[in-house]
Amino acid sequence: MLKSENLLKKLSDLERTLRDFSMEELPAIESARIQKSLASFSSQLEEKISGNENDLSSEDTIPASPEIIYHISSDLKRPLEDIIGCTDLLKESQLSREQHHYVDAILAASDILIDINNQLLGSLKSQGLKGPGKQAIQSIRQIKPMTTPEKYQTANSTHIFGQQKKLDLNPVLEDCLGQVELLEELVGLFKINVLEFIGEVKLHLQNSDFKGIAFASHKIKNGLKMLNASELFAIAEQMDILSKSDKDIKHLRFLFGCFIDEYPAIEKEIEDAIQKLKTKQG
Amino acid sequence: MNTGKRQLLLAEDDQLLASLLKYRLLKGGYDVHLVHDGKEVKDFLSRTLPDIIISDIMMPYFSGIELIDHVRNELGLKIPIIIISSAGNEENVLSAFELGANDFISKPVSPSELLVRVGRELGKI
Repeated sequence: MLKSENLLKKLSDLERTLRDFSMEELPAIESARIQKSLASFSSQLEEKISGNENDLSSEDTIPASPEIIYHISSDLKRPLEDIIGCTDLLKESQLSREQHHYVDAILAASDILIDINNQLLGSLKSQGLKGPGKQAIQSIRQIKPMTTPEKYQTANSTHIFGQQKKLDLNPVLEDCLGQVELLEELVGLFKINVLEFIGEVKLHLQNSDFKGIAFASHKIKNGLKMLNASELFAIAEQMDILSKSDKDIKHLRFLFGCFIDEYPAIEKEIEDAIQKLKTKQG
Repeated sequence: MNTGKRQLLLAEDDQLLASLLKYRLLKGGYDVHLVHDGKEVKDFLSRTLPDIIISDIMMPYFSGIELIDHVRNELGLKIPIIIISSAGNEENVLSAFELGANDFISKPVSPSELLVRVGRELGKI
């Protein structure tokens, strides 16, 4: 309860700061975007918290399951990333002293929100989660958002990442001589490889280890290509190239953020494709 | 234990690819020994000599290039060696051939194609 109150208070402070800030001379689009992200974040959080408070007040209350915490964290992540990403961009633009002060206040409040989000995840550890599920949540979600979407979304962004082709596991099933069980085993290995990639690259980005990023990106590409995850493959390929050429850490962080954002959808597509194949085989 | 089948050493650190290739090679009638890095390759070769070696070029501890050098120059063996290489690794492939590799196959590896290449190399022996 105490944590929820703190969170809402910080949110109110953030809203107030942002309202004052956006009244200054600021590009209208960026201002509107930050306000929209914050409003979305705020209302989702309030919904979740009031939902959880109702659960707690019930006699049959059970502790929030890891899945609920995971979903809360997932829903919080994107608007939070938008806030931080846009605020980072603002910081780089021409601002007055006072505006810089407001931006710093927004970033500081966002840092606190990230910490609280990570604490939500930390509670999963205390529930003794084991196995790939725990690894998935820790590896994918316990990351400080580092995306700066506005800066790097150019007209060519679709070209850079391409369109994800409809995922087709039939060629892989053919290679497995029709053995769906083997295909499932390969998909399991693929998921582990992706989680290892995410964990490794996160560390390499923190240490600006471009060689490490290149090696990890190079290694994951083969699995991504094997399972026809074309969009993730394109991202990994970009990371491989950039970490050898430009070595632009911000751009690499953005690409990494895109990879993490896209992966859950691809994972679901793969699982659905396997289910379809199993049903077909019957 | 000698099963009468041809002994194949597969050196590949990508577990996803390794599992698929091992399955297909076993189905192809070979005894497959799978190792994941250069250290394990050296250990294996100090105990057993396979009929053919399939190795990724990029591996931890000991690359595929170093493996070829080890097998051809240090051990003085003529065992057929097939290199698995990623796209954009042409320089390494050329080095592999110069050191004595017999063939190479690019990633993503077609298991059917690999079986044909293995059969062809073993047929020459």
